[in-house]
Amino acid sequence: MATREAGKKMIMLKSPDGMEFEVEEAVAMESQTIRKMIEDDCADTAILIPNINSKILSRVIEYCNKHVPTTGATGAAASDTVAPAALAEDLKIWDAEFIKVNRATRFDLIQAASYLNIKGLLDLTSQTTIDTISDNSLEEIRSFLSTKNDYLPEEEQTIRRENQWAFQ
Amino acid sequence: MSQEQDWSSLPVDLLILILNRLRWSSHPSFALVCRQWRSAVSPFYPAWITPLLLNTTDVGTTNIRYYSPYFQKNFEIDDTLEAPGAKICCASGRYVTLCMPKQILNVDLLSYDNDYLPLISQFRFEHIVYDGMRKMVGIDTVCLQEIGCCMQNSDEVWERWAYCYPDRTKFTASPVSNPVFHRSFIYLLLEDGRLAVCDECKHEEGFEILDKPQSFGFVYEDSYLVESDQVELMVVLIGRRGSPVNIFKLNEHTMEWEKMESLDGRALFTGTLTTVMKKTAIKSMQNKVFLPRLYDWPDIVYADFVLRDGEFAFVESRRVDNKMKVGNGAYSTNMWSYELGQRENPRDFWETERMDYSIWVDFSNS
Repeated sequence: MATREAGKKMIMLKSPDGMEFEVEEAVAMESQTIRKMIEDDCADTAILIPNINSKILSRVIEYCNKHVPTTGATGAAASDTVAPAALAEDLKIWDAEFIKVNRATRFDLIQAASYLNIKGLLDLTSQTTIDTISDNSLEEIRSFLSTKNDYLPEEEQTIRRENQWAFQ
Repeated sequence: MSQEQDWSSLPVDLLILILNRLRWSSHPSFALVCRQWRSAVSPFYPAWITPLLLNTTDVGTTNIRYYSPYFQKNFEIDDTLEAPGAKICCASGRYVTLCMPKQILNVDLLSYDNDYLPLISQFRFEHIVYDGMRKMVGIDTVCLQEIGCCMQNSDEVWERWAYCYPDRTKFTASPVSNPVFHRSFIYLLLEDGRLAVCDECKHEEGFEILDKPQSFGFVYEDSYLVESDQVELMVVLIGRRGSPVNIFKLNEHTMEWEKMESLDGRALFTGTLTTVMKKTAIKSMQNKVFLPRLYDWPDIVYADFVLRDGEFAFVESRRVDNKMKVGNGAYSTNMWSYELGQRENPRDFWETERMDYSIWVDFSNS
């Protein structure tokens, strides 16, 4: 890794379990929520990220680090040597590895992506859910998501009847 | 350590974000997962499950409406066909072809791209048919045979019209049915039930009336020609005021019309210049013939056309009190339909409202 340039602004992120993460401002601003805080000047010293524990927060930072645009005035070196298509392909492979986590972690990551408003991470984390719902039967979906069916039989029948076209 | 989370506890706005990326046909399953998930699902009407009857009271000025024979509602889109006074000529999937004096245009109903073709030399054609890909053919048979053909080149630009005036006998084609492209020929249904055929590659040779099949041998009021979803040539014959209804399939070995007793789970949408025959999973619509005649004036739903992962649906845009609602809500009573093999005679056209300026369109492969 290249040494960190002196001019880069750093931001401190704090998780509710007391861990602190020092990250580049550009990386933190991958999150639209944090970007807004910085732009509104509500982020002088450290930003407390509620509801997201250090384990998940460190994964989110890892994601943002990888996805922060490398092009631009200062950090153009990386993209000069690698073609954009190859870079995108590399990122896709990295994403696929990144999301190989257990269901509980993915659940936390979806919520974190949603709270921090990181579009790419939200797309990535919700895609498996979308694939599951698109390709499986209702029972498989429920068991994958380990949700309980809280419908009365007649309620379920009503929904099926209202969407008859989908269940024939 | 995280405990095993309950996915049903995900907040609604997050569920909506997921839903916005999920194809429409999966939304009902999403709603069935649990109550919390259902609360994120908003109502919509799929546009691809059956062909829809595009109707507009005045082309170019009034909004486009799509009548769904499944929902028995008329969905009004905040858009017009931008061609005042144009005649609706034909439809192919998501495209509808319009004709104004000397001008033909193809409209993509999903993008509202108007694709103007080069001007034609005469005022208009009797029939205009689009093959759904890159060919537009105009046909006149009344005074003399005239066939015009316009092709789209590989840059999707329409080239100049090519005309030919084959010297052939005159004939009268069914005025309510378009010619049909079928196995690299164009078929025209004549009023007496015979077929005239033209080779798609040899327009200059014109239409030739086939010796066989012969006429049907009984009287009917309207006749419609269609190429089915399984590439068969079929004819729908409707008697006076809707009775009787007969469907024949052309046996291409013997060149005889064969009467069909069943549509094998398919449905036929006819009564406009374009007829559509499709397989349908909706049991209440199988083996039925639908005509653009309504018993009750349908509810109008003001809607937006919304795309989700390749599927289009209507989403209500503003709610209007339909106090005028007369329909009793029972299935299959709103639009005139006839089930093949049903015991009773087809219902009479009496007290039905004909939907003029309408044509069947199909968004299933969009």
